[in-house]
Amino acid sequence: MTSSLLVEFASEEQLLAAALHMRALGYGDLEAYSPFPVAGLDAALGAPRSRIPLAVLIGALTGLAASYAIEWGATLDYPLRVGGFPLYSLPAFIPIMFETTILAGALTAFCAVVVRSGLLQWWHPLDDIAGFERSVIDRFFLTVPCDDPDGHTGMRCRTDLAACHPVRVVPVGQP
Amino acid sequence: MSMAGQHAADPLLIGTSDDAALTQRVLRPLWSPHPALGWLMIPAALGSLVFITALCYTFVTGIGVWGNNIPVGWAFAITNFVWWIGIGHAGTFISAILYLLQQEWRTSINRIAEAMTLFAVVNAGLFPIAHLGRPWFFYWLAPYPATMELWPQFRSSLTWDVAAISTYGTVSFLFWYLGLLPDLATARDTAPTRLRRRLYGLCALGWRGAASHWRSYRIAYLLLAGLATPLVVSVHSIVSLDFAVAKQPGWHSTIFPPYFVAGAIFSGFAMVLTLVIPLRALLRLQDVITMRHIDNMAKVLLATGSIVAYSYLLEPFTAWYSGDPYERYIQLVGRPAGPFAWVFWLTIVCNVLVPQVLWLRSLRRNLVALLIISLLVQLGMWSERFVIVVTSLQRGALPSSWSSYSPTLIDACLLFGSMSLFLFLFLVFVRFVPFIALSELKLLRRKEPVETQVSP
Repeated sequence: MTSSLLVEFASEEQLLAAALHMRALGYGDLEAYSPFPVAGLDAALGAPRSRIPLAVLIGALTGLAASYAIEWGATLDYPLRVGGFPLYSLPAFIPIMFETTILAGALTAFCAVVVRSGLLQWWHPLDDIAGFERSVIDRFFLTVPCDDPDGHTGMRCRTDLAACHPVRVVPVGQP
Repeated sequence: MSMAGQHAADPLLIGTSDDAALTQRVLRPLWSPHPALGWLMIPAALGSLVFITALCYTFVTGIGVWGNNIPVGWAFAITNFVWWIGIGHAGTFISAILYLLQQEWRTSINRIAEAMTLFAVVNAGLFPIAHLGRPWFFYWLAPYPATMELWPQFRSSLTWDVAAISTYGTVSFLFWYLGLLPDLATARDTAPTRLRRRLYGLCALGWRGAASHWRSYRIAYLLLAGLATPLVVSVHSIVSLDFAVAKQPGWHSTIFPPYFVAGAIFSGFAMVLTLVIPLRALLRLQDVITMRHIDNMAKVLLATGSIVAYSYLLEPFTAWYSGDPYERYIQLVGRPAGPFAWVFWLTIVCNVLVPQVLWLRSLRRNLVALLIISLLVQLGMWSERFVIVVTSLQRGALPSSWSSYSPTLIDACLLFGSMSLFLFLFLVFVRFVPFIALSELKLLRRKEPVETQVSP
């Protein structure tokens, strides 16, 4: 069973330094927890470039295309000449096309956060560790994957972490 | 940030020793609420009941219970709608535009302003639906393949309005809720009872402050701000097209979109001040919402008020310059000397003269004066919309159809009832939701020099 070590820090600088240190030593799959976004942490953890902007662009363009199709399609389905507008009156279609672009883009952005950051997971093994709740209050945590937390690899990992001034190191099981 | 004149800028955050203390400080109103809020809820709930009763009466009887009749087919309902949706604009302005401009003073007030936006949009949305006459058919406004094979008229500005308001409500909610997630998680993990822990935990969607959470959150928040920025400008522009597209004298003007947007932000900031000043005193938030916030909001009020004043000047000039006799009549005679001349002059006093006193620094820092000014501005903005809606319809292009207008008791109940509903929803929000962006404050604490003394 793969598991990991949970490391607690008192400040964001220590967390950042530890993430850089452990990655330099070759540890991968690090995850950090903090009460606010720590500048530079994504680079320190080696996070890939987010694809959320692309998803939002696609979502927004889908919204644009959908309302254009509905507006133009409705005009073809029930041709009604009104107010001197030609049947294909693109300028009059623009306000709704604009609004649905924004609407679809925003919905995509919100759903992307839920999906990409794995929300809707109301319980996590970390939640069973007393004191972990301070990750949303005032403490900074790092998880380091480690096959055997109490054995040889765990000992080496703890030795590597000792240079980072952790408040404490706790073993955690994986879900 | 540069400091104006000889006065040093006030701090944005005062005297917080550490994150744990700040968390406790900001979430305290959730766990040990101020009794005054509960007492205020009673009149607000009773007023909301009046609103619901008046609304039900309207639904059952028909909109004949209102004072409007041809030619004044739009009156209180549309005035209230435009007024409420305008008030909503400050929330998105603060949360989106000031975020993109990296104005850090938005942090303590953005959550309150966003919540205000949501409740204002709820109120705004109810009025046109009630005005439909048969509100149970409101879904006819949506494009769906109906058995009658009919579609909404997409070339009509009223249909644009439906798209604009529903988009605005949805995007405002998403923006507000996304920003709320980290603070709901903090509320979950500091909640004193198991039930509250469960409820806040359910709403927090499993937020743990992981770096992967923050990474997605920050990108999405920035994108939402970018999407909401053109949205906030578009919504009141589209609302103004409800008028500007029509050929009615006093409505058919290209100045309407920018003029409405400026007025919207003007009334919205006035509402933020109306809510924040008593809230700050009641819950002793002087260290989180400092005089710098108040002063900046007063400056926005002055700036947008000046744009509104300029529009008031330009409207009669354009009417005169157009040479159109009906335009000239409504702008130069119908409004300043017609049946509702007193409402017109009330608008001028409240929106043009009153905000100009904010050039004085001492008045921008006088909380009582600011509260009164903010209330007068809202009165003025309601009057402005009333003048636009009612006087133009009263004095149309066919003098034989000119008529008068008087509202009924139901109209008054709906207007004041909607204010009560707004207040009630706001009080519920302040009671149960972390109303100050806590995670953002923790970040701000590290950027801003923190002072220890509390300003008045």
